[in-house]
Amino acid sequence: MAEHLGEQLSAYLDGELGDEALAAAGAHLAVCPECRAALEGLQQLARRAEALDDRPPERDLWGAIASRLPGGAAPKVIPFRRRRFDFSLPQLAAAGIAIVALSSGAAVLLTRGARTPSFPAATAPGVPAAATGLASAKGIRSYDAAIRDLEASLAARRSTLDTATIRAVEQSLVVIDRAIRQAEAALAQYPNNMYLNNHLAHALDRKLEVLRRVTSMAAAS
Amino acid sequence: MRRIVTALAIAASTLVPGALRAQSVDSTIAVRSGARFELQSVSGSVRIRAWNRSQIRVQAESDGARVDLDASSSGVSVRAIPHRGEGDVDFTISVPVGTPLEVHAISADIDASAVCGPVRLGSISGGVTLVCATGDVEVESVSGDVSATDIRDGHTEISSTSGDVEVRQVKGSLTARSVSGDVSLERVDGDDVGVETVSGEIGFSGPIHGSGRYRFRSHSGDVTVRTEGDLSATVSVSTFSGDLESDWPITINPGGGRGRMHGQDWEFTVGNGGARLNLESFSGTIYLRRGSSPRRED
Repeated sequence: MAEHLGEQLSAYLDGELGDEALAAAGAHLAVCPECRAALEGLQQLARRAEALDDRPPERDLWGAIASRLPGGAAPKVIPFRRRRFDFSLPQLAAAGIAIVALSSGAAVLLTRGARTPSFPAATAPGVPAAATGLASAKGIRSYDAAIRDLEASLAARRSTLDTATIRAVEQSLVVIDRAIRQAEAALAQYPNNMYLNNHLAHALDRKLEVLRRVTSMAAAS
Repeated sequence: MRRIVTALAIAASTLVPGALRAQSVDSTIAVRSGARFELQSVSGSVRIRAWNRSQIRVQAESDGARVDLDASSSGVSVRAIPHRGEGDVDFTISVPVGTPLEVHAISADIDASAVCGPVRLGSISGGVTLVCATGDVEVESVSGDVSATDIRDGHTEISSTSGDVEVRQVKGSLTARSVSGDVSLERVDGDDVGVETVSGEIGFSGPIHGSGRYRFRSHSGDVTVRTEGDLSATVSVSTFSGDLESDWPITINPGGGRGRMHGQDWEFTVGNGGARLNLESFSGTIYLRRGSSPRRED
């Protein structure tokens, strides 16, 4: 397996990778649980930071301040920008702690406030569809190849399992395949949705895990 | 190490082709404290109970298989060898309380009660029932149902591919999984709990500890979490077409009281948000209930 994505994850999340790097990252993520976990952590961190409320002050203080300034200086408008996340993985850990503290504080403020808070976005704003590439074609192909290998291995050991077990395993794989198809269909509708990307990756993982487990039990028997 | 080979039905089948008769084994081995018991079987049944002696007793009724038994003061290892792939063996095992158990079978049901030590039990197509364990526990089946009750002071891993998973009265960390079966967890008291199924439903009841991590994930099944005592958690909810119903007042529902939402991905805080509670169902309903008793609508 290639080296872990490390700091590339930030660029990946921000949609800043070129086509080739993006495909390579997607393929790596498909087979690397550590990087997927790191990506998930980064996404959660991003969502939490996005959820921190850039709320304006309760009342506009500028008028009172400006009137005290010589010549009534015009306010300098600082535009809101989407927060950009560019962390190394060690920074991610430290930032996570800070964000937990900050978001707890924000939650207290929101609880006190009378208005409805905005929900964390299900998608990362501005991330191109392909950038959430757990579902990238290359990533899916990596899974498909691993799944095919295990299916072939299981087929070779099929005779060691009784028919009821084979039927149960096949039914379970049908269930997982259905979940995969539904996740893919949902992703086609909402390609940027982090949950759906993670959900699809997890369903593929689950299929791999079941095949691996049953194959090893069949081999042991 | 003493090796006891019990030739059973091979002789019988030679003498009486096509008419295998039941054969019996009954061996008792003295063991020192902490001795292990291991068993590999193919089909039939395995019943393990504790007794108040420093001995392990192996009783087997075989229908064609040979039973090999390796014994020493540090443990007993038993293996059923089928004849031409055939031969049920019904095992009844008595072990000292606290004996570490490791039992694997192809299609035998496994039932281990009151031993109360660390346990690894696995059957491919048989069911597995465990009552009382202390320390790390692994219970697994591919197509059978699995259940575990009264587990303490360790990490519990319990899974079935197509069967249901039932866990009751666990104190410690827990991972429970199925693909098409339901996963039911009652009175689970741990601070690291992970549960998942694909098409089954998930039910959990137990306290949510302030520093704990709890993850519940289903694809199409409902997820019901019934919390005992106060809840103080950061809750993340992910769904594609499902709903959330919460008894707990949550910050995204300023009116308080029971909340209901429809959507995809939210995070909110209950209390001071100490615990981390991740709830996912792609298309099922997620229920966050107050109190451990199930409701009619659950």
